Amino acid sequence: MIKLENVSKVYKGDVVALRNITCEIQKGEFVFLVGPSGSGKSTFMRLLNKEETPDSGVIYVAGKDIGRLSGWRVPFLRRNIGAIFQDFKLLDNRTVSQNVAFALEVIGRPRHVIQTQVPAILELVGLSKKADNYPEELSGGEQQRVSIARAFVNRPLILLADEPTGNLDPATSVGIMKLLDRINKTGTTVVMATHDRGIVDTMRKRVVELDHGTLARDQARGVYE
Amino acid sequence: MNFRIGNLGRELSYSIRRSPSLFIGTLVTILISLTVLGGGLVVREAVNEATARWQDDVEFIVFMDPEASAPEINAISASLSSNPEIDRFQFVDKEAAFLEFQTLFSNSEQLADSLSVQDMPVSFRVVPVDPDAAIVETLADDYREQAGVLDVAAAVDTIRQIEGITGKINQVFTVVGLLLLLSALLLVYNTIRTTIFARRREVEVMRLVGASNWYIRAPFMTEGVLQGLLGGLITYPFLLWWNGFLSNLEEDGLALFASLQAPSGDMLWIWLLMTALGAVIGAIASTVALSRFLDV
Repeated sequence: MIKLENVSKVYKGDVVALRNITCEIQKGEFVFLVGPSGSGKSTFMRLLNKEETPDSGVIYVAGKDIGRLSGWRVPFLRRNIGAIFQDFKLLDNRTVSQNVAFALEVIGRPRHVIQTQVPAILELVGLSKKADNYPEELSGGEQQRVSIARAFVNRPLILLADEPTGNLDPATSVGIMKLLDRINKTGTTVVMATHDRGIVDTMRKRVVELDHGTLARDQARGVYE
Repeated sequence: MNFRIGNLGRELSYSIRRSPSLFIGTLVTILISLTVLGGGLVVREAVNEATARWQDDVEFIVFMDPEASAPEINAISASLSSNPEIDRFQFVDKEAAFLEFQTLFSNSEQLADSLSVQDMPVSFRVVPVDPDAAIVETLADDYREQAGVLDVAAAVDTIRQIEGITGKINQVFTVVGLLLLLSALLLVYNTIRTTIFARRREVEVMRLVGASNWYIRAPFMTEGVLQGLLGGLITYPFLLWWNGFLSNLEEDGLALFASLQAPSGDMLWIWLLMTALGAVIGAIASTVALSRFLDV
């Protein structure tokens, strides 16, 4: 599903974000990306949906070399990749269901599809009762559920989660992780960058550790250590 | 492309409501710049129109000395009749000249009263066969030399003067108009930049979920083009006012302008040209703003 071959990325001022990374992630896998701040986790994620381009190396997503993707095709790549973040990135002036519907509207899904998909996904993340609330009326955990609903409503092949529990307390984090696990069970590949030792050690999924831009460890059913 | 016009309208009105002062300020600047540019064109068309009427009937006027003798006057009359380059002419006697003088200077009674019928020169109004300016001037020079002639006034002199003046007016209008247009362009650019900034969160989400570049850019482009288009459309009453102002100049003593007014057909194309120019300015400004501030 995802394959990186000798991928390097250097930012301005010779800051090496990634150095010669080779890594393959199969369809339906759940992968934790761990490592200290600045180790290149975010860059790794941003390369996958082409928010960044590598300085060298080749990246395949769903069998396609995304380096050869022309600019106008990038949106179509991103429709196959859901993304959630530590800061949720919800639109404050829209309700929960409008936030989720927005993701379908802007890619031109017809209204009747939106009207059936949005309630279904809100049911899945357990927010049916909050559909008409605004983000500021929700707790952090609920806001992250909305952002997951938005990322997943289009049924992407891959879900990228950049420290999704970074702003949440442990109990709430567990709920979010259960949700991500459910989504993973539907066949969606999940790549999650995290600092949360407890979560990694509990879930016992594949762990890829980055250190100063190099691949330090790749371990099946690993722990944070 | 499954793109809904309704969304476009909603997002657009949102952009306008968000910052009405900037929107109105930009609109007024576009309006003024296009009105000045269009106004220059109106002057040009009006002068073309006015001088064209002169050309149909180019004449020069041989003014006789008020003291000129009857044989001298007859000699000129005979010369004009026999000259193959002259189509026809009209003799204007002292009474007719005085009457015309009074009409022309009706505004200033002092001047009208200070002169009597006897002070008026008789004159010949001449229509040459060929209205070409050079020929008219040669003819005028010929008659200026003859006995009893006070002066010869050629219409071409007046026309050239008008053309000289309007040429300069047009230069000023063009320079001022273009400078204002530049500021209009920068204002549209800033409006779009502000809009992009205000909506950066939405843009970020749109990119993330895979909205097409075109979908993301369309509302910003539309806002810029619509502002320019609107600014161009509302120039019409101002251009009409300016044209009316020009045609009123003749009442203020500039009687030489028989009818200094652009015809309505010309007004229409000037208006449409300004509207199109407004849209182009809007498109350029928003394209540049998008390429600089919207990283898709």
